[in-house]
Amino acid sequence: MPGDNATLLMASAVSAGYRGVARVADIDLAVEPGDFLVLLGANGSGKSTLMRAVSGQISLLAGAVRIDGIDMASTPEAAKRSIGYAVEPYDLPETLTGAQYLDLIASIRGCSARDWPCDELDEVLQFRPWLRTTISAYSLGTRMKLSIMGALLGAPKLLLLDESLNGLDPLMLFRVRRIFAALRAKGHGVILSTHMVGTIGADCTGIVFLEHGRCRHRWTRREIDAAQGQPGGLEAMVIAALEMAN
Amino acid sequence: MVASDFLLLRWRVFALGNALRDLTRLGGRRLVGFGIPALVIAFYGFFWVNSMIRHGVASLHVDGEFLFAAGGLACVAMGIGAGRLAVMRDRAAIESPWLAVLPWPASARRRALIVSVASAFLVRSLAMGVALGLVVMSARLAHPVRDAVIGALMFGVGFAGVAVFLMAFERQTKETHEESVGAPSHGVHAALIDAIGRYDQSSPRWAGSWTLGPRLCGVGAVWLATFVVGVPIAFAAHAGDPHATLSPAIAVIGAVAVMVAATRCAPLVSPVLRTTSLGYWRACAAMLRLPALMTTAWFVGVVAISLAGGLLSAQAIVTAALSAAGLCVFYAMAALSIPASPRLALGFYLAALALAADEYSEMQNLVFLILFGILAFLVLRARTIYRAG
Repeated sequence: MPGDNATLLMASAVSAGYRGVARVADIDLAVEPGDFLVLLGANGSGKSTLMRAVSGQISLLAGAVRIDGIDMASTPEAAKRSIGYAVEPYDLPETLTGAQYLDLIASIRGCSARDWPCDELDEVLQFRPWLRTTISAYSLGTRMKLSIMGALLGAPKLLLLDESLNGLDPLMLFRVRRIFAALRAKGHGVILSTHMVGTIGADCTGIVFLEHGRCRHRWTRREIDAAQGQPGGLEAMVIAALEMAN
Repeated sequence: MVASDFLLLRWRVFALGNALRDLTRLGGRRLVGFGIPALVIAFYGFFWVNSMIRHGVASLHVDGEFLFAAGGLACVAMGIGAGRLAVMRDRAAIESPWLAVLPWPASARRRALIVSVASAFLVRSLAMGVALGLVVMSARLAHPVRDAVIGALMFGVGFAGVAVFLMAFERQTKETHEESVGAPSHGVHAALIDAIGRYDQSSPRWAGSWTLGPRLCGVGAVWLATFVVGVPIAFAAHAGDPHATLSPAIAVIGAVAVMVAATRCAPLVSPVLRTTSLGYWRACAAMLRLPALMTTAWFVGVVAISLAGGLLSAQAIVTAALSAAGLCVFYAMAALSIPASPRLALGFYLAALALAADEYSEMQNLVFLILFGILAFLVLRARTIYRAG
């Protein structure tokens, strides 16, 4: 297999945007097996644009993205085989039910509609009562759960979560994190974009702080662990960087 | 009347003002860059349409009364479409969250809806009158002013009729909608989705149900209406004999109508498909699977009845099948090349057909090859966007 031991994501000097205008520029990212990378930034800082560029939804103006060793620009279908992208809540197909949506994704990935990395994920996320309801009737949190369940189908090597944890209640957030931790232990990688420091969690291995489409700061695993040694340390570390940026 | 009754109207005016302001922000040079080609296209388009209407009317060889009746019915149909769109747009605006949370009594909401729809009625009837005036002048009919006024009145009748009907049933529709939210999907629509789903099981599953979605009942209505109306017309025309070509024409028009009603390719721009490994051509096939099935079923049904009634010869069936297939493939390509906007795709399709009809005498079948070539280029461009933005 081409990417058995490859870096899960290698983004080099990525610039991307819309209609030829760059919204993010000169970004380097690397996700190794077991990593949990957080893209942190204010609204409009370019997090979603970067996630779209990395997942092959918008073309790159410069740079390159390789997923599990496969170039996204030249063979996007093969590269996308390794990613599970949790779509934004209002991008879900509103006319389908939750069960039909999972069926759709599973049929594309060639797995069963219940092929999650943990048993009975729909029960774990308290989603079962919603399976036969059309998505248009879902609340934000219920949509988030479905989006995450779809991304996890077939246990892809790299999970891309664009603000996907913001709408979850504390118990669901805890359970989802536990699933991610189990996946990472098996060599999968996770990228989460968020503007909420509270959703970062204790187990992230790297934080990239974006501002105006550029990488302003990076925190390594060691710095994050050191900050988490004291109560509220991670938040204080991030806020100090934000204050400096402003 | 109180100020809040004009809220929707003010919203529209503000939106128009903002759009114009955004346009001016483009800067003088860019505005001139857009403006000059737009004017050239508008002038060219006007003279082209003018010429087409003149030639079209001259080649119809139908009596004035028939043309007058058909034109009147077309105006009513356009009025019904425009009225439905206006009520749906304003109702959606009134139910938008930022208005829904305002302390605005139901009676005031209703009055605002009526005021806004009434203004749309006046503006569009007037615009229709002007457009019809230009059309009948192009056609050099005997009474251009009278025909334009009557056409605009027919448009108004269709608009007002459907608007009053839809607003009268507003409360009932709303209650039905509120009952359905949060509850498992039941009822006719869910049953239809399930029935369609049985034919929608090849990978990716449910793609057809996704594309048909809330339009499923509408597509079914188009399917049934074209069938119920088309077959008796074909029989009546056959009995009268002078219009022997009408039966195959109806088979073609009905099949294309079903295809247009059922095809929607918006999922091709959705990240749900674009972030997976699903290839572009497989995604296209998934979008077109159900529409093609419904169109084929319609066509086969009509042909079977026509054969039983002795309306169509084998040669006529082959010709009709080829024509319908060509026009349906042509529309499918238009829909695939502009997936985000079905209306734009339809407009492009109709404009291309009109161009083909106009240029056919000069270029013969070459005009279709050129059009298919342009569409193939657009579809390939859509493929590039689907794959990597």
